[in-house]
Amino acid sequence: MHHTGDITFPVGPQHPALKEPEFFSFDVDGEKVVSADIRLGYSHRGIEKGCEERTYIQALYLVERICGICSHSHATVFCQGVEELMGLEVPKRSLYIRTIVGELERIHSHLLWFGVAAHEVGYDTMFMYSWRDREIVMDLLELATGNRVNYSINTIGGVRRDLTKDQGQILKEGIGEIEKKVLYYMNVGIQEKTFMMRVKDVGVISKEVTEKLAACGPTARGSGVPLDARRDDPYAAYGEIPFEVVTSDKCDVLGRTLVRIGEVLESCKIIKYAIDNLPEGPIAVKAPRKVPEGEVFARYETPRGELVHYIKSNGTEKPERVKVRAPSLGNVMPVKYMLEGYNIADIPIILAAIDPCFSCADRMVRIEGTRNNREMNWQQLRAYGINWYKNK
Amino acid sequence: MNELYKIFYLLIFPGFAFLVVYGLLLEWADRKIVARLQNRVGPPWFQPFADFIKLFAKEDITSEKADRFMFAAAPIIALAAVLTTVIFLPLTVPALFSFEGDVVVLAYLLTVPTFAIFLGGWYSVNYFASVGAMRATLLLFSYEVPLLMSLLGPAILAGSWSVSSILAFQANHDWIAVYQPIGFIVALVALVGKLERIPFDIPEAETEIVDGPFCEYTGRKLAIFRLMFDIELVIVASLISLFYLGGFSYGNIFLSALMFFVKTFAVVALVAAVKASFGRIRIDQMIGFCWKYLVPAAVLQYLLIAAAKIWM
Amino acid sequence: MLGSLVPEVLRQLFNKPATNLYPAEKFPVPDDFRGKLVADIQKCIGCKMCSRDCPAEAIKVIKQDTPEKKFTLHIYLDRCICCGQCVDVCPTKTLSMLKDHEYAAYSRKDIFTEWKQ
Repeated sequence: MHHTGDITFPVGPQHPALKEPEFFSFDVDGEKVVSADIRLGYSHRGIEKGCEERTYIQALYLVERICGICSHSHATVFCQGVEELMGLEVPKRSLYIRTIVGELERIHSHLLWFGVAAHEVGYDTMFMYSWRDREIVMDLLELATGNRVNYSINTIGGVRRDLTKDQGQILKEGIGEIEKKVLYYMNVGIQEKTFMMRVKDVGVISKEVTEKLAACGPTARGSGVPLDARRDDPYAAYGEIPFEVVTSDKCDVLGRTLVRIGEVLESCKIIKYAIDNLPEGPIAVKAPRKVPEGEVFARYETPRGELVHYIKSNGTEKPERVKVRAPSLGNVMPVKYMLEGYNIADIPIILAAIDPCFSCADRMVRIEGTRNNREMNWQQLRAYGINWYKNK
Repeated sequence: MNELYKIFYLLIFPGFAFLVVYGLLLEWADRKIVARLQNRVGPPWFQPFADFIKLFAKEDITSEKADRFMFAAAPIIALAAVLTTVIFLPLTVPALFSFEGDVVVLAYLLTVPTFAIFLGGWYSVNYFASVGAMRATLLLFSYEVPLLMSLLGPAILAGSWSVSSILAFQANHDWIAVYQPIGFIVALVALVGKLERIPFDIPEAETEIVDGPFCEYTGRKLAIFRLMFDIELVIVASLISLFYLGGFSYGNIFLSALMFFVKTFAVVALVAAVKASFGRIRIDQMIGFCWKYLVPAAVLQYLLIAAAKIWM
Repeated sequence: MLGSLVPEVLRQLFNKPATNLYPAEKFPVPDDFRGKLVADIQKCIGCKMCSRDCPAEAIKVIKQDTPEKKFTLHIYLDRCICCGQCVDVCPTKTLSMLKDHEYAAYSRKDIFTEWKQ
């Protein structure tokens, strides 16, 4: 038997509240969380190293599989970076098609998030309904790109498939249905009192703290900070398509929910405008196999926030260094502040509100400090790991 | 002959065997209705039986730090308490024992499973289980008073503390739900809390504390806990039907059996619709809700009964 | 407001379930779905562009021992990620993708395909 008082309550790495493994340890007092501690790194797969041993076109398919939900984002930002290194002028039609698929992916990701958040608070009916409606978007993506996940529509120099007029018509009908259902969710679904009671005034973080802590995406926009890479640094076709940046100044989980639902409605408008104004022309230009020397920083607004790829090339077919900074890495710091002072029952919904995608975020970070620094190569690391488990 | 009938009553109908089979069937009805309301297909009719048998085949693990005796005794205490209630309930045949005050004994027997869950969770030494056990007790604290008040309302109206007398009262008059609609609604809400279902399934919140007190239970012991919840569903549905909806003793055996199935099924359908429409609330919100809304509603019902008695 | 979802929930009692009863009913896939990789081997000229560009090392082009130039393609379907890069880059349109996506097997040997000229 143990005494009450300050208990350390572990959540993770495996827990039903988390969709991906990460470790949190909370100091609780009764049902209130006093402080939180976070440790990541359970999903590290060595993708950045894998990119160094593959050619650019092979690395494109590897980078696309960093994450299942934001796979098009990773592929597009990689292509944007490499195309800038090569100095290629990509045709306008391919930029519009990239935008259409990117916005379809945003709708799919936000509907998935909404179902998961509803499940975390026990609101299972909304989970079933929103995932049923997500199937409409998955079928549209399958029609446009050939696969439901990992769309592979990008290639260096443009896109691989064209969008015919019939496909555009079917897309518009499907988007119309999604709009009706999402309006229902906004006006009726989230107004349910038992759901509101769980998300209102939960996980509050003020605008000033959000700006200081490098939050991005709907986490920042839900506290009134209007950061959006589509508006701040337009890429693809966003410079020519009119859209609004959805923010909310509620600063709690309800604010983030409203931002995401508002973004789905904005995405529907963007897709309809893009299909109506699709310019004629080729869909790709031929790209050389060897990339000239240089380094580039490419940005993209994924459904979770701003994604950054840094690519360094050295004149050969294979990249020298690819560094990925995912938005979930920036959003995980505010979580520590959001959790203090709330109940244990609020932990899953606060974690789910930043839309964590730790598969994107687990990369190697090199910290130079004053404590014992050690550099190990692959064989040394492997021997170290085997020894550690033997002595455990 | 009398002894043989008593053994038949206790073991076959409406005792152990009938409760087990009908409990599993009602669990299927509940899951199927919830699935259809959520636009899904739902499981086939033999799914709860298959789950029960599968759990018996799994390995039974007791963690090292847990108290072996209490850990094993908790599910059995819970199941025994729930099975004993059937002695006092007239489910289509007259009750085996019936005396003045068996309403109180019923209420007491229904509280025992919650304490057994608390003991099971506390004695399996695990953070999630102890948080769940504490929540189960807090939940008891919030729904117990409205539940007792709503069960005693019909007793006051019928002028007796025996379930069979309340049933007899309804045979001569209308259903008590007509006379006490507020009490009916309070009873339904409090009994959803007793059954620990959404919106009140706080002790077993799956996403927060990994099934709460049942976190460490596997194999046979978990099967017995699950069976306890299913049988509790039958008992609770029968309770509401007996106290408020007129019971099931119509003289004709077929009509009684039919009304039994129809009424318990209707209660389960109502409870399933509630599960499909709401989310889970927090424990502090639950305590606030029960004491701010349910208890005053039950008190209001009592005032109405008192007023009616004075006028009549 | 409490119970705002109830009308929609009750309406679902009259709708058909949205579940697809796989494998009893199979959902059709669109025409240009990226499924199983197959080869029209007579058109192959042995340039090895597919093998060079494959991200998963799933294609091997082998020159046969005969006096005329004949090639064999070894396609490892368990490694293939169905990206379609080989189909795009092949100059003679030898490779193509079917609509078949249910080709799982119990061992690696069963899922290895060989195309000989």
